[in-house]
Amino acid sequence: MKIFVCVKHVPDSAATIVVKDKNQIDERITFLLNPYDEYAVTEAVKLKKLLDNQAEVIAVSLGTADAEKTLRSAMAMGADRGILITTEDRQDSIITARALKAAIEQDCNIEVKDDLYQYGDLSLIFTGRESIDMVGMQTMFRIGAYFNIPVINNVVKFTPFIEDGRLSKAEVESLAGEGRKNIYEISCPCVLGAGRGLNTPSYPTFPDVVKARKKDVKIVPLDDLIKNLIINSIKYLISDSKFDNPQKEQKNGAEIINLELFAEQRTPKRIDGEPLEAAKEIVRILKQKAKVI
Amino acid sequence: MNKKYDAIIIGAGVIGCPIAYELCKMGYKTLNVDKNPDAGEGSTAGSCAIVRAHYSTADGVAMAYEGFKYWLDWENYLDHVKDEKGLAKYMNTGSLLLKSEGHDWKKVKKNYDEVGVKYEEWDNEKIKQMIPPIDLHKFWPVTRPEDPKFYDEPTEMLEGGIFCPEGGYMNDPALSAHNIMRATEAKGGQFIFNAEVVSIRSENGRVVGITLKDGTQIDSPIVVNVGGPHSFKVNKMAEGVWEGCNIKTKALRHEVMYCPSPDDYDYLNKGYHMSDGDIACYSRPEVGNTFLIGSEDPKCDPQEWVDPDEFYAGKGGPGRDNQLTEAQWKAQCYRWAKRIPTLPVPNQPKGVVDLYDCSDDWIPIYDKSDLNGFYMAVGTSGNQYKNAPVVGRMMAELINACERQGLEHDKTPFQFKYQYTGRVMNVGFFSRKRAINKNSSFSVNG
Repeated sequence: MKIFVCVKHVPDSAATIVVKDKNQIDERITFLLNPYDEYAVTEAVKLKKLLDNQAEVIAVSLGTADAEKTLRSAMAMGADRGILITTEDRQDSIITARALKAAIEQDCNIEVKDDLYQYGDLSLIFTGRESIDMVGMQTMFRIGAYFNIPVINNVVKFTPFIEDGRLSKAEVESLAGEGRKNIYEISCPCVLGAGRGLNTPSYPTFPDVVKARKKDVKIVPLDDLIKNLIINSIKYLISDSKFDNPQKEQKNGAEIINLELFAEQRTPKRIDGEPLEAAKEIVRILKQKAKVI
Repeated sequence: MNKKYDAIIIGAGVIGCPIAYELCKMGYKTLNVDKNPDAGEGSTAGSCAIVRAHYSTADGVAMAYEGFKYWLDWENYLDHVKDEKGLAKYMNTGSLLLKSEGHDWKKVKKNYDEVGVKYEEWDNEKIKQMIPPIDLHKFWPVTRPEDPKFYDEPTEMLEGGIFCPEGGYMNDPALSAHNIMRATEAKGGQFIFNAEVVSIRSENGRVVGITLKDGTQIDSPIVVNVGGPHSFKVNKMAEGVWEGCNIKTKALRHEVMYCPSPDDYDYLNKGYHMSDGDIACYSRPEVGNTFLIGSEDPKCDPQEWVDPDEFYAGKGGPGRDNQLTEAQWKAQCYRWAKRIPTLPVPNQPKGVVDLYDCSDDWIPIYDKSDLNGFYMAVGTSGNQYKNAPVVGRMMAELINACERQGLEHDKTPFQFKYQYTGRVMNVGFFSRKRAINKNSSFSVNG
């Protein structure tokens, strides 16, 4: 059984972002494991334990060579090995989802027979609910669509059903905005986008870091992966001719024309007075203005 | 007409404020000028505010021990002044110095004996009993995570440590400066903020005042440079001062990190301040049951000397600005995580980046200058927070002796008597004219 976690190498949210050449960010800042992916990795490792460790957790990422650091972070948090699909360019969610799908497919020997997927070793795919840099919330849905499996995003509770040591289905709670929760029963394999609150991320200790250094990361250049796919010619993957040239497709698909820094307007207001009065005022603001309680 | 004061103090941090406070108590009319919006908002705010006695010189130990007595008696020191922000609090955790090749602990012990600092020697068993998650393997020499040797399995053990029950930290360094400001105001001292000094005026070899960026001129026959990381810029503004210093200062970028304590260890309430030369780190508890991890400047770490104005504006460039770097985050956290093997290290760096006002030998300059009336309390090198109230008293007495009693400090150095320990300090030790002090640790250890 294989549990995949799709992870992304993103800028540290505390970094000062500087735009260069109109549509790129100056990458001389700290990049790290997308924070939502930390929940995904932690949940995958928990699931492995529930499966009596009879499963493998594989972190997979599309990014530059530097993204190996993010895979090492995921492995320090308990993933068993990593797959890095290397690319020099920032790719949109179409290419990203296809590349991730292709890497997972190769790893699991997934086949299509009589127009139906044979999922092989694939048990589950976790992602974060979004990446904090692009905030696209598309990749997990595209992966699901390409594999023809269900997707639930912003998952805050995951209860797997394990029969005969195998994951058959799961009960999943997701946050749907305005405090509303949806509860699903979902067949596996599926794609789950981990949200905040799904668990408490288990940060690595130094012995974990040392172990992660020795774990395997398979490096697959994006172009090679695509060539292989064309040779295999799986029709669910190659649904359009553009895919044989990802660079070209990127230009035809989503291209970032202009990046602008967005600084959220903050208008701090000081509440003076006695503590009791100040507390009442805070409650009033939270109720009437923010409408969160 | 320009406003006139008896003394202008450039800087309202944790050292600038007590100098003004003590001068006010002696009857001087003082003005502190600071480019930040409030007291203690400069590099004081980024200080770890550790109060510990181990220094590489007996004088260093004595001063820290004297300082400890002030922190312990904080409300009295402030003359029971009210501060609307509340009072900073001294947290007496006790302080453990691990015996290692990274510290000349035998010298420290000798200095403790000489000064009369209370201490206990702990063997590894005792340390393990007091700090259950600790691993006392010897990891020396200090390396960086980029070096494969960093991950070598240790084989030898450390040989215990020296524990001072008197030691800890102030819980809010910026607030402590603010408290002293309020105490100073109660004695008649004045403060102006958001005010940047652009020139120091002098006539006939004597300082006469300062000019602010907005053109305001303020006059005083005494000006004290307590500019922290900006000290070298301020010294350069004053005629002949920079040139007259044998020891210079410059701004060194420094990072400290936060890591959560392991779940089963209440570091906040049961932990100690620890100095660990074996991995060149120190730590103290912080709110939220976290470890605050600082660096003791091992030789393998890069030193980033920066322009303080560019740094604070975030424009110095990566590794030269006020953003944590991934490389140093890993270096300090992984070093400490070797000592505490269950320490969780988050993926996202969290901590504080600020500047040391660092002197050539990492020992401060508390002195007059080659310009009459111009004094300096600079080069605090990341290790003088704990001494701030003592320095305030010492500088005020030095200034008074030179200005009102005709002392020629360069010829006959001022002898300062400590209020609590009764020891006498030769202030010439901190002279700008000194040769580089070879006894210094040349690090934040002082």
